[in-house]
Order: sequence, then C-alpha cells, then structure tokens
Amino acid sequence: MLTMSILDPSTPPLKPAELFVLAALRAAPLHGYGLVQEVAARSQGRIRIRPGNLYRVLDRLLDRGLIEVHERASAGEERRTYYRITPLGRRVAQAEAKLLADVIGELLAT
Amino acid sequence: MLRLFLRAYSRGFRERHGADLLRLCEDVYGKGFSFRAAGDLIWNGLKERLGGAPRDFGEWLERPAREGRGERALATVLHDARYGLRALLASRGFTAAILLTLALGIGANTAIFSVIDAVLLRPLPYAHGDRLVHLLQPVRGGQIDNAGFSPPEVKDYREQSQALDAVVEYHQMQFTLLGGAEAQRVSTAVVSANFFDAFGVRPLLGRTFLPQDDVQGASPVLLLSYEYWQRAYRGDPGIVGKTFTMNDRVHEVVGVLAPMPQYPGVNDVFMPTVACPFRNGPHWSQDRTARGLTVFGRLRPGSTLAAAQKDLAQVAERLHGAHPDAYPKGDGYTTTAAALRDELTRSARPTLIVLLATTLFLLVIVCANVANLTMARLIRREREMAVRTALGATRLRLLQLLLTENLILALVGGALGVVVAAWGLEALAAFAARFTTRASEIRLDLRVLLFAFGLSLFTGALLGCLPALPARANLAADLKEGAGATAHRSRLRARSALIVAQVAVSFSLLIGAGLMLRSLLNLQSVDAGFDVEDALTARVDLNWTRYRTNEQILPFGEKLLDRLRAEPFVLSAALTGSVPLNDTSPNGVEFRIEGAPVSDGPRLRANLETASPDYFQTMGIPLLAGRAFTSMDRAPGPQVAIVNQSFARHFFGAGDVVGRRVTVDGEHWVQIVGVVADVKQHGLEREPGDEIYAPYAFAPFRDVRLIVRSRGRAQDLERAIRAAVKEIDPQQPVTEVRTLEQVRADNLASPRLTALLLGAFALLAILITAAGIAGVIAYSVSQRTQEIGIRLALGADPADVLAMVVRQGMALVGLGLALGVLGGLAISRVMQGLVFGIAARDPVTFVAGAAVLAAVGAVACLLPARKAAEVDPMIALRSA
Repeated sequence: MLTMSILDPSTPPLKPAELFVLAALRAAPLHGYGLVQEVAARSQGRIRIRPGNLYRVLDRLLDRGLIEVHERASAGEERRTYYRITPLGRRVAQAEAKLLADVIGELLAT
Repeated sequence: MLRLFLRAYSRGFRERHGADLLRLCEDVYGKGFSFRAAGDLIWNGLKERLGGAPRDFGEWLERPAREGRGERALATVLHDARYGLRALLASRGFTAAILLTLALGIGANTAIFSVIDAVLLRPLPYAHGDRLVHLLQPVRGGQIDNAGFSPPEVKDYREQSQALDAVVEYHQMQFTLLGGAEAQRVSTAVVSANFFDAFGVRPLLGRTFLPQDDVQGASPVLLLSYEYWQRAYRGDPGIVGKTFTMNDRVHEVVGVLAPMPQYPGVNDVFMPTVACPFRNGPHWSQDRTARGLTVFGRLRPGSTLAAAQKDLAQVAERLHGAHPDAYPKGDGYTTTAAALRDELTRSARPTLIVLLATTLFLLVIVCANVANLTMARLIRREREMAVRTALGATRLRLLQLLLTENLILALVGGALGVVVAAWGLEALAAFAARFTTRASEIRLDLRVLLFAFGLSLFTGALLGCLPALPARANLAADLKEGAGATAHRSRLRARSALIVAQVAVSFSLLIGAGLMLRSLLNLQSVDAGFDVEDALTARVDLNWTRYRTNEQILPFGEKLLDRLRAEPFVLSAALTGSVPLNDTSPNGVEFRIEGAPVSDGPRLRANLETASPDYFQTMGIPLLAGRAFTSMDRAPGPQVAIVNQSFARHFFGAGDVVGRRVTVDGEHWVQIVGVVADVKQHGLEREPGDEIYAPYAFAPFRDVRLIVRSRGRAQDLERAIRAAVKEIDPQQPVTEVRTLEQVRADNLASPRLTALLLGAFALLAILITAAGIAGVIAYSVSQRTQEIGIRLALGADPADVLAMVVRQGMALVGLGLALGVLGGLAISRVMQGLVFGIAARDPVTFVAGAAVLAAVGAVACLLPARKAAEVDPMIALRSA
C-alpha cells in the first residue's frame, strides 16, 4: 500500500467521470457548463457531474497533463475558461477505452 | 453568499478554479443561495482537501512543492489523519479495545470532574458568595458544633459586629398553605428582610423582601422558590399578587426566586421573620437562650474571614459579660464563623476527593493499557516504520505520524467518554445530592466539555510519544526477516514496566474499594437497637392554627392510635418525636440529678425524646429494668421518665437507676421508672447518646412520627394509616411514609453508593490490567516459541514450561503489588474519614486485595502459559 506508487509507477485508472470529460473534450474545447451538459448528453443523462465535483475532476486531469487550458474567454462580463484535451489525454483515453472494451468484449462473449 | 462555502476548498484550488466554479454553480443551481449548491461545495470541498492530500509518502514528498507552507503542514496533518484512520479501521479489534478503555477512562474522569467543578470549584451562585460566612456558636470545646442563635443574639451581633456589613437569620418551619387546589404542607424558610440582598440573590419575578415587610404590623408577604413555583403552579407567570392563607392570615406573593441551590435547607416558600408566629411569640423573641436560628453574615468589602472571627469573638466576650446567666461558664460558649462555601460542601468534599483520586488512578491504568496495546501494534508495524525510514522519513516525521494516530484515537475515545459521562451523570448527581445542595448545579456544560477535550488531547499526546521513545530506527536490523531481537527485548521491558504500573495502581484502587466495602459490611452488621421488620413510620405534622393547645393535640394522637390498634393486622402503634437513625444532630438538654452536688463544671446533658405508652414495644426496644410508660402517665399524675442504658451507665454507674429523680427545668422533679436498651438515634455510625424519654401525654406536640407494627403486612399499613388520619381530620396530610427497613437502608445509602462506585472502578481496573497481563505474556511467549520448542524437544515437561511462563508473569504482578502498597497507603490516608469500624490501614483489606490481584494475575498468565506448554516442538523448530 505504502510503496505502491513508487514500486509501481503506473497511473491509477481513470474514473468514469474523468473518462466522460475526456470523451466530451475530444470533439471541441468546452467550458465548465458546456462540459456538464455534454457529459449528461453522452451518458443519456445518467452521469450528471455536480459543479463542486467537476473542477476536482478537471484539476486531476490538468494535474496529469491529460487536458489543458484552451483559453480564458471574456465577452463583456462573461468570463469562462475553456479546456481542451492534450495529445497525452487522447492516448490515455484511448488506452483506457481499449482496456474497457476488452473487458466488455469478454463480458459480452460469455 | 456561495463564495463563503468556496472556502471548503484549499486555497490553491480556489485560486485555480474559484471564479469558474461559482459561475458554474449559478448556471446549474441558479443565482443566489441554495442549500443544494452549498451542500455540493462543502462536500466536494472537503473531499478535495482530504483527497488532495497525497496517498502515501512518495506523493507527499512530491506534492507540497506547489503549495504554501501552511497548506503543506495542513496537507501533512490531513494525510496523517487519513492514513491513521485507515490504519485504525484496518485493525478493528485493536481500535475497539482502545476506544472502549479510553471512553471509560475519560468518561469517568469527565463525570467526576463535572461534579467536582459544580460542587467544589465554581464560586457560589450568589452574587456575594465569596463574602458569605456562617456564624457558629460552639459549646463545650466543640462537643456541640453550633448551638444556634437566639433573636436577641442576632440583634446584638448585627449591631456590634465591625467586620460584617450584614447579619441575617434563617429558620425553617412547616406550615399549611390554603388557597390553592388543595391544602399543602410547605417547607417555609423564615428569613430576615435583607437575607436575599446579603446573599446577592435577585428574584425571577416580582421583588424580594423590603425592610418594611419585616416590621410589626406589616401585611404578610411570601416569596416562592423556583422549584415550588414550577411544581405547584406550573410556572404560572401571573403568580405575583396572588394571595394564600397561612397561619390564619392572608399572605400575598410578592416574587419568585431564580433557580439556585438552597442552603441550609430546601424550602418551598420564604417569609420575613415578623410573619412567623413562633419566632414572634414572647417566649422565643425575648429569650436569649432560645437558640434555634441559623445565622449568616456578609464580610465587609476588604475584610477577611480571620478578621471576622476575631471580631465575633470580641462581641461574644462582651455579651458573656453582660448576660452571665445565658452563657454558663462551664459550658464554654464561643462564637466564630466559617466560609459558607466550605460549609456547603464540607460533607461532600472527602467523598469527592476519593472519587477524583480513584478516577485519576483509573485513567493512569487506561493510559498504561492503551500504551501497551499501541506498543504491541507498533511491534507488528516495525517493518513498515523501517521501510518508511529507508525511504527518507525522519524520526520526527514518524513521531508525527504516530502522534496523529493516537490523537485521533484519544479524541474519538474522548467523544465516546463524554457520552459515557452524560449517561452516568444523572445517577452521580443524585449521589452527590446526598452530601450537598450544590448538586443541583451539576451539568455537562462547556467547561466540562473543554475538560474532556483537554484530557483527550493530553492522553493522545502522551500515548503518541510514549511508545515512540524506545523506537530506534535500526534499519539494517529491522529490515532483516525475523531480526531485531534486542529491539524486541527492550520493547518487552517497557511493556513489562507498564504492567507493573497497572498492577500497582489497580491494587491501590482495590484497597480503596475494599476499605469502603468492609466499612459498609461493618455498618450493615451494626445493631440499630430496634426491630426493623414489619413496621411502618409516617410523619403527621398538625396544622398549628387548629391544634394550638395540649387539649387539642393529645386527643388527635390518642384517637389515631386507638383507630389503628382496631385494625386486625396491627400489633401495636405508638407516637414519638423522631424516628431513630435520623440525620439531625442531638438536641441536648441540661439536667440535674437529685442529691448530686451542683458543680461549676460543665452541666450534665442528655437528649430528650418523647414516647407514647407502646413506643418501646412497637419499636422492639428491650426494657432492661423498671417499667414502660402506661396510659396512666399523664397530667395531673406524677411526671416520670425512662432513660437508656448508656444514660444509666454514664450517670449512675453500677448503682440503681429506677426510682432516682432528675430535673430538666430546675423546678419539677421527674422520677425515672425504667431503663431501656440503647438505640442508634442519630445514625448507624454514631455511638448512641444519653437519652431521656418523657411520656408523650405530658408534652404532646404537633409534629409527630407515627410507628405501627403489623403481623407481616407492613405494606397494607400505609392505606390504614392514611384512612385513619383522614377520618379524624380530612385536612391533615400524612408524609414521609417509610418502613423501618427503608429507614435503615436509607441510612446506609451513601456508604453503599460510595462502595459501589469504588468497587465498579476497581473491577474495571482489574479487568483492564488482567487483559494487559495476558497480552504481554502472550507476546513474550510468541517471541520465545523457538526456545520453548527446543526445551520441549530436549525433554522438558510441559508442566515446567507452564510454570516458567506463569512465574514470569507473577514476577511482574508481585513487583506491582509491592509498589501498590505505597499507593494503597496513600489512598487509605485520603479515606480516613470514610471508613467505619476498621483502621484506614486495615491489614485484612491489604492482604485480601493482594490475594485477589494475585489470583486474577495468575489466571491472566495461565491462558498464554497453556499455549506455551502446548507448543509443538516440530512446528516451532521448523519455523525457526
């Protein structure tokens, strides 16, 4: 437990919310509210990221370099930060998806 | 508004995402405040703070670079807390054992502290509490603590005292209050008009007494106590201005007092001195020797108790010179004062201090036990610590980690302890109420909670440091599999020392409990001098407005007795002034013996009691000589008296008593017609005094105790008594109905409760200690499995192995007992005033206590010892 991350440097698996955020950002950069709506749409309304949690998710993804700040747009008094996925983010998302797909394929086969 | 809840997140997070997050909240939850938004932010913010804390050392080392110093420290603490919590949850049995012991230890201390704080530490809840003194008039070198004061004396001390700026009087009466739903017998405090000003007590409603309320001819007024107002009038806010009839006069309620502990007695209503028909009668108000008043004084600002005592002694000297008749030389009257605060708690202090000492001892055991458990766990975690050290953790860092874990344990244990304390507090307050009226102030308030918190922090800090001390981070040794024998040995030594301490402290507690138990058994076996079975007592306190003269009082009593005797299951019935084993102090009267020379020395003194003809038979008090009272012993016949054995022995030695004559008033000679056996009139622990019994018919009085003996149906008696009284006078209340067995049991209630409490604490201590012994011996056995295996393989008898292990454990117990004798002597010194019938250093208790602990210790050793004897040599050797 204690030495796991040192002896085993692989990153922890992505959480569903993180995966959905990455998926939502693949098409275009989005701001917070856009992300909440996009994730809800993609999950057929099953995943509703709460605002308080969304920025924790974004913070973790930023931390791992999977996403980055696209631009801080300001139109009048509107100030929104847009995020976009990084190349690393794309690869990780793909790898995670493949891993899941393998498991799901197995599950479906049996 | 939501910005406030954003604070739940760490600063770094707020700087990165704060504005966006608020914006998003508006989009999702709408503008303005909503509970959902607030809940979302608080929940996720806290998760961010905790989750943001890294999961282990590696991350911890990397992470803080980005954050400020404060954030870094916080992150460390949060990390340690998280890690600690997880580690504690992982070993649930260990955690539960520690939390349970801590909860009991901290809980017991918190509960006792709340009592001590309320009773001994806090200032009196009167504004002038620290300046109040109780005036005392001791007689005969303190043989009588306080003779009380007469109205003329109160007046003199009030006028002449320099050190006191107020002198107030108090006495208690029972009156019947008419005007409510039904006639009520109320305890009435009769006090000076400035009584409440002197104490600094303000009314809750209305006003207190004014000087004009306490002059002759003033219209009668009443104040109600808070408790009585609540109980009898359900806190009616319109009570002020209502009128009640009392002693045939209309009294107006002028106020209600705030809730507060009452002293010296608990009363329902208060009246000024001028309203009391007895206090104002010519006999009492003018007679300097009619001392029945309790007197309090208030120190002038800047004056001290010592100055007041000196001042009062001077006034007393002047009075003694001016009224030599009222202060006979031989009696040695003096006047002094004691701080009211000490008086109020004097009888509670020794018991409370013993209880405090007991719970502190218990806490020591608890700490030792928790330290022991923690060390046992630390031994299992030695490799973890070594790995941490190898990865760069400093000694300080490890200490910090352990400290956090122990603080969590102590704080959770403390919180549980507060629950334990709250649970036991009511019973404890009821217990304390037996000693002091300040018990009504006992509660779990902020001070008590702070105490529990402080105690938990202290315990946690102590425990966090203690096991860490012998921890040498010997990397190479600890990392090697199965190595570190020296480290284990030093740990075992430390744990053994803790066991010795636990045994020593348990022994001290056992001594305390044993002394109390032996005292209780002694008290229980004391012969009270009367037969407690199948008898009932009740108080009948006649309303003086309707029973003024002997001609009115006597027929009531005689009719009542006749009626009761007519019941088929009543064997006999009698009246007396006070039931034996009451806690009042003896009411001494002076007397002279016919033919004995009158000396200048102290006058002869005995207690005067009254008894109706069948009293001795009803109580089961044996008649030793002469005869009992008969229905013929009444006016205008000759006055007679019966004395008890100790009176006879004291004043007549071996000589004849029956037929001798004594006088109480100096005019009428009374012939002694009988001698009865001694009775414990004033408590089982007190020696019987010298008693003179006078026939009830000669001096009937209103406030009598009825005693009825039945043929095995004591419980049916109550109904019969109430019916009989109601038939004679429907307005007459009957109170204090108890069986004589209850009277005796009540007399033992305080020592029994004290013994019970101390016994429970001692039992707890022994159980904890036994668990500790078993744990340490089991550990030692597990360390020596190989050695034991070799011994067995070489042909050692399993019985020898068993004996060897038990011997090892008993050596610790023996050492603990030897040290414990010192603690036992210390506790027995504190308990000097509480023991009865034995010396405080009672050798039987010490020996029995040692035997009990040794037996418990042996059993605790036996369990792991049997495991040792059953070691399979093959398995032991193979695992080597």
